Amino acid sequence: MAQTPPPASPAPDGAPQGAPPPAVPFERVLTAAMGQPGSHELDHYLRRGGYVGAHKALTSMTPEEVIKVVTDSKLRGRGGAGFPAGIKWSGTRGNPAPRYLVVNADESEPGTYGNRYAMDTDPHMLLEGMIICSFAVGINLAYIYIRGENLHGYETLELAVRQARERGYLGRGLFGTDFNLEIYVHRGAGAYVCGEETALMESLEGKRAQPRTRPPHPFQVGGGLFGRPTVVNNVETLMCVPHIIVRGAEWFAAIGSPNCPGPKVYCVSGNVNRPGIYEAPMGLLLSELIFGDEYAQGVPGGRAVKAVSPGALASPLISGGELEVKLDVDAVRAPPYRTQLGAGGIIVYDDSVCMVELLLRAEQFFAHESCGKCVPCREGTHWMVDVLRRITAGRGREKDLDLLNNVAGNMSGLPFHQRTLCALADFAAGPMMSAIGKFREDFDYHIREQACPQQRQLAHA
Amino acid sequence: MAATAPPTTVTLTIDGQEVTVPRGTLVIEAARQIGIEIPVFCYHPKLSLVGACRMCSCEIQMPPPPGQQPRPPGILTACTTQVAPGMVVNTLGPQSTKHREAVIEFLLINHPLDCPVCDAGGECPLQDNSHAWGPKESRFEEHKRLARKGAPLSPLVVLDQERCIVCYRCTRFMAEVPGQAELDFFSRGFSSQLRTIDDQPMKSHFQGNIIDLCPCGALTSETYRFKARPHDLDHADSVCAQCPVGCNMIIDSRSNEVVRVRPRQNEAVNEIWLCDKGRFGQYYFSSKERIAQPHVRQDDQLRPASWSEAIGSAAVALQGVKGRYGGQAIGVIGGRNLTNEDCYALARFASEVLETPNVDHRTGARHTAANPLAEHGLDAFNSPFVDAEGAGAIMLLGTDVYEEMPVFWLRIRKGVKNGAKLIIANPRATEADRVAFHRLRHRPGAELAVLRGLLAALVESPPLEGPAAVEASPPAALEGTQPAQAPPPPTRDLSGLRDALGDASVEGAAEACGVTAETLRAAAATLAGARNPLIYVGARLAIRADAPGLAAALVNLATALGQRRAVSFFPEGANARGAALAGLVPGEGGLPAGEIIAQAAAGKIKALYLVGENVLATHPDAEQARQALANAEVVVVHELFPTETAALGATVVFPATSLGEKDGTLTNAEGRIQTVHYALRTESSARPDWRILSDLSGEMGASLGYAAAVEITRDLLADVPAYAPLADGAIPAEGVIVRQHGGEASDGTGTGGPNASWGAYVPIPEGPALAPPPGQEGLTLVTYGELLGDESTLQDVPEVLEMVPEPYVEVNRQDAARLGLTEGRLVRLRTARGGVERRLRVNGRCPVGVCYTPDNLGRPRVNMILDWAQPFPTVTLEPVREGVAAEALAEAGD
Repeated sequence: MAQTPPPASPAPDGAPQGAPPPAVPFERVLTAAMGQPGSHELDHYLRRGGYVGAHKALTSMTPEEVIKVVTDSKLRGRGGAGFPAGIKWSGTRGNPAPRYLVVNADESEPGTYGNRYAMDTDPHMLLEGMIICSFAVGINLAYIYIRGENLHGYETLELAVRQARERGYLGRGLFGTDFNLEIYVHRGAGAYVCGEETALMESLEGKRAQPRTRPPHPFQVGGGLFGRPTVVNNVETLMCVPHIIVRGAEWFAAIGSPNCPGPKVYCVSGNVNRPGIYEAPMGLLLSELIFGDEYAQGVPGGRAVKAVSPGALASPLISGGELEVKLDVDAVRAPPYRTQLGAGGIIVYDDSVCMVELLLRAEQFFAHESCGKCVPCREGTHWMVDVLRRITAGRGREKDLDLLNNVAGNMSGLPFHQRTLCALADFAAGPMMSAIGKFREDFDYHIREQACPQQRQLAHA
Repeated sequence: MAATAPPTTVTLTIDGQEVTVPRGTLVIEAARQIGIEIPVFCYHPKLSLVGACRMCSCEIQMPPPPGQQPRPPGILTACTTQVAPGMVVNTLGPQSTKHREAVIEFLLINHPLDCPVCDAGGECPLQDNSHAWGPKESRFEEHKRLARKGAPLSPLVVLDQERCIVCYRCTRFMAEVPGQAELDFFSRGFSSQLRTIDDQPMKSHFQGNIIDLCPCGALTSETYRFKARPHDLDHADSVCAQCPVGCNMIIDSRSNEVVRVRPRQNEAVNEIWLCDKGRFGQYYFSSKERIAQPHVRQDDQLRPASWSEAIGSAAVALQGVKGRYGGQAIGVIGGRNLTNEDCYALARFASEVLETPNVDHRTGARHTAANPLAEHGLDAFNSPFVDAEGAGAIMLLGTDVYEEMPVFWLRIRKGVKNGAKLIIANPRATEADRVAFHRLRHRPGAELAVLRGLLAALVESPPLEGPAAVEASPPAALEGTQPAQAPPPPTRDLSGLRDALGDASVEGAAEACGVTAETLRAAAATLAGARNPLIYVGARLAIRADAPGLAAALVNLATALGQRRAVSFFPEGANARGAALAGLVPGEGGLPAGEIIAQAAAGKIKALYLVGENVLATHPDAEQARQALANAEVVVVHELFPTETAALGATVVFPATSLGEKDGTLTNAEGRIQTVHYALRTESSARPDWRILSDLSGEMGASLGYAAAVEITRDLLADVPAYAPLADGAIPAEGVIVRQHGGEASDGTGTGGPNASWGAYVPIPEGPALAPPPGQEGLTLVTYGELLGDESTLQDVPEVLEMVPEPYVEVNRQDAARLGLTEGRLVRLRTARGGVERRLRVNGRCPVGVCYTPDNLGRPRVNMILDWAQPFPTVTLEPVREGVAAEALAEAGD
């Protein structure tokens, strides 16, 4: 793969963030219209320069050029895995037609809501990204798989698709070219596992939502939707694309972390003064996001941060002493954090939170959402819930911690083991193991005193 | 593009051994090839891959990309990972064994561990793998999951959800092999539970196979439940005699009683499957209803007799008839469900002792040629079963193969999955229609017109010459790859066919058969464009009066398609092929079975020798059969069960032994001779048919002289030309296909029989008009066989009887509306002969103006109202008043 030379003044990896000021101040592009009434309407979007990117791509660029720009921009998937979008696109394009595009809008993890607001605010930005992607990959049929509970988002998208079709941005002969594209919006039926791309495609095909074996991978024949080569992209990934086309790959690649550049939408929730959606350069410091004045503005009552889930509920926990971490895909994966950015849902827990209770709720979620296909996930999630429930009920035993750690270890495949078909088992195991490793005293207290440490704290307060 | 073709084989290392396998092989299969067994639950070579159980995970190290450091080995599933050059697999590495221990621990935490009361105990992969790989003790101290126990999925299959390890073998089998997704997992994750769709009982004929596939005791058989432990069982290798497929099976018995039947792997015949009749329909071997001793008629009553008395009185009576009227006055019917040895003994008995040419195994047959294709130099069945897997098109004419030869249907379905286009010509929709490419719904009895239409369409636009014809059109032109334009191959010269067809046109044939001309043309084009087309014809067509015409048309069709061997007739009866080879066919001047009965009724045949043929129930005119029995001076019957034929007409009844009690051979539809081993001792005084015949022949002064079945096998193999290659007496375990005509089975061309002008088109004789002309009052009645008919073999097993449908008649919605009849009503089918009552089924499967009823269900049988002179009678339907409650129920269901 041809690598573009790095931007003029890259922040070396690991250096304190923000030391060299960026050449141009950061400009919000993904959430620019947030808060503006009527921003979901086509006209509003057009007034803000909408569909210029799609027009440019379709009328003045070849598909190869589009893919090259996206590759050069170093755009990486925003859904969690961080796979380079350009490579995914060119890989799919290399396989025979018909090909499909599926937008993963099944955002259903506790602590993530960025896609929901983005689709409510700017559905046309997503459609424009889809048009450019479809043109680049040679796709004439695209699906948006939206979480079933997100009825408002569904209706907004349906309206947007209708408006785009009426205006000729979808259908036959887009922008006067001979390129055709049809988009269908499909509502899920309430399964978290559908956020996993192969389970999503199974569900879209009308089957029981369970991950498939790989290979064949989705971009290959036999692996994608209806067995055809398929691009599965996250909403936010595709929303970046029109801006890349309009402003150029260099603009995008210069934002934030050099390895994983671009704007990123972080959703902050939990014990913060100002929870919400913040668009910032990829690689923002976690402490800046939690305490910065532009962002979440600290913890209520000035309490200490006890732990953070940097990638929503599924990510291994970061302790309060590890907040100086850059929020990009690679940095959070690296030791000592060994966690994941996920879709950028940051949950902050202050020191009033009992980690045992937190883990019980988390594991109940994963046990409920495990599709049941792979044995370790189906049985392990429930086992952990049973043990945690017993501990919180005051019937914990010394050996339970080793048991929990071991059961979680038997589920977790990272980094090289495929103990299960998808990452749900890892999502359940990671928080468990990190909690036992970093917050063992909460578990010990529960087992020793047969009570919750926070109850004591409340009693003493 | 000068890219070199990628190598077709891959070399990798498994547990230190180098192995070279074809590209695309799965690691688990590569390991199996060098004798390394990797434990599995969900993986099954006959099913799609799910990778769900994770049991087969091994330490697999991929070769690093050039110039990079090797990555440490990962744990990957051997069942979903394809081999790669330089891959290193360690099936016993510490990480993989630790992982397997974890999987077993996960599987067992919610498993009830009730092995001591579980049917699977002792032959359970979960048990075996737990012992081999599992942890020594459990760390699970919580409450186990509770779920449905002993829940019936059907009258035959029972589910214990608590034992289920959710491997999806059962659901995959049903969805993929027979294509009947009757069950699936409901709910999610930990709560996943197996249920049937809408909680309706399963109806498939293949449901028993999910019991075999289940890797734990979750699915058990209702008939075997709690009957035995595996180590208590005796096993016998046998072959099913319920239909002409000849599935290999193992009979498991305990204390001389059949307790269960399992499939025996034979990839050429049944792979590893059995249909439910084969699996659950073998308990009759141990039936208490069997005739225990010989009977003779005295004062118009059958009374028990000794063997010597029965043999003696039969000998005297038969000698008397032979003496008074000659051998010509004796008719012998039987053999289609007997072993080859019984058939050969019966054939010899008929020709050497009774000296009659009136011998036939085909009940109801109307013409003498047992194999209508023989005069064209072909066997009745001309291709091995496995050929269906590689066919480009398969045509089914006049058969409901799902009911007729269920396990062969699985093979056809496999062919369809591999890309064969299925063409079905049948008046009524069948199970096979669900995957059909063309459906030719013709008028009953108009098969010949359908064939004429197809032939005329071929003459209009002849198929291309040579096998290159098919390859010339690439399967799916890939984007960016322009196929090289080859000159189109020449079309085949069909002028000979045009002469044979005369003035038949597609339009004329369409008019005659009721299928549109476009459909006929489309079906003909599909056949013409297909590589290796195959045509299978139902058994009922082979015995019909117009069979010679059908055979000629079929041979012409096959010849026009360039593959004369493409046509095959299904036999009627499990060993019909063997019976024909053994000589149970009309001799010089002899009568076919149907005519034997007709002549006996007319008083011209004076003695009937019936071996396992209950003609009162099977001859397509019960009144005629009754007269035949009444008019014949002597009727000798070999039977397993007391039948109405024996009760009404037999002079002497000999109790015969069942297939489970004898050694011998069977020859299935494709001509494969296979060995049967006895599973049970005979506890009554019943004897094998061949022994009765041998004893009787001795009494009649011309002893066949057989004392053991092997002696007959030896004579049979030496005497029948088709078996000549086997004359040394060794029949391999998987059987061997024999051919009567056209040389060896594997030979693609053959030379044709002595009278055949191989490759030439033959004139098509005009058959008699069969169906009544349209526009008559009433409906045309068509009869056919249900798989689970002939209940006598099922009568001891109430669970199986529950699967047998209530005797029914099927009519089209339009006819039902016109007659004011509704689904579920009891109706009387009436002809001039009288009426029989049947439950009404109203649907769209049955064509308008026709009603269908199985002729092997219900008492009295529908042959009560049939007339030998009218193959397709016209019937009227009239509602029958039932009890008020029943009628109200029927109304409520409307």
